[in-house]
Amino acid sequence: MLRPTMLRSAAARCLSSVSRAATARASFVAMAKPATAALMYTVNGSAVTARMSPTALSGCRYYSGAAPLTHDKIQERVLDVLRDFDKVNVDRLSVDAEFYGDLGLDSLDIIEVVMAIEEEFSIDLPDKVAEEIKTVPQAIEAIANAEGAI
Amino acid sequence: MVLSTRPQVLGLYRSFLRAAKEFHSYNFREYVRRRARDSFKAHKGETQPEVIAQLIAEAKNQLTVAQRQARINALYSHNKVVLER
Repeated sequence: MLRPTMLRSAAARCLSSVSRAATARASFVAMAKPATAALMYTVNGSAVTARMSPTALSGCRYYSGAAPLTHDKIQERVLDVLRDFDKVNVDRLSVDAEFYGDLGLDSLDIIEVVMAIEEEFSIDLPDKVAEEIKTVPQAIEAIANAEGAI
Repeated sequence: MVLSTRPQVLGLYRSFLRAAKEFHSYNFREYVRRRARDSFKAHKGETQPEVIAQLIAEAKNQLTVAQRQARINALYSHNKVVLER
């Protein structure tokens, strides 16, 4: 029996103090308004320019797309993937290496390498395109043509 | 016959690797990859058309199993194994 009434009175006290604070603030604002408004008005032009200045903007973060992939970047990353692949003959790894002849991979290895490259660039190549990749330049070209490679 | 089944077999292998990638837990993922690789390698030199056809049928069957299990596996959360961190 006691508890609800206590709660209710506490809630009422809370509400009244909040509303009192709100009215107090409102009156303060109303009193202070002419002065601040005048101040704001005089400073207005320079304040706005200050906010737009580069120093103020440096605190902002811009979320834009990553830098576009260049041929050299793709090549470097493809070669890295190949270097990490344990069956690749690293001595003969070059920018125009063939998977079969130079790198000593069989057809199953090539599929794995192509999948690893797809994963590296977060793309899904269609099977038709993936089947055609037999050399490093072909891989680079396929990635360059793929949409959403990062 | 061998030549004509080649793209199909390679396509199947690719499908296995894709199915393996769907598994969320490391152990299953690696198992499917390893198992697919070993079984494909084991029959690398197969020349008899009937045997090849039979193996392809079996692979298709196993692929559906792998795909189904991958889907089920992805429904649950798995902690990363220490190897993946």
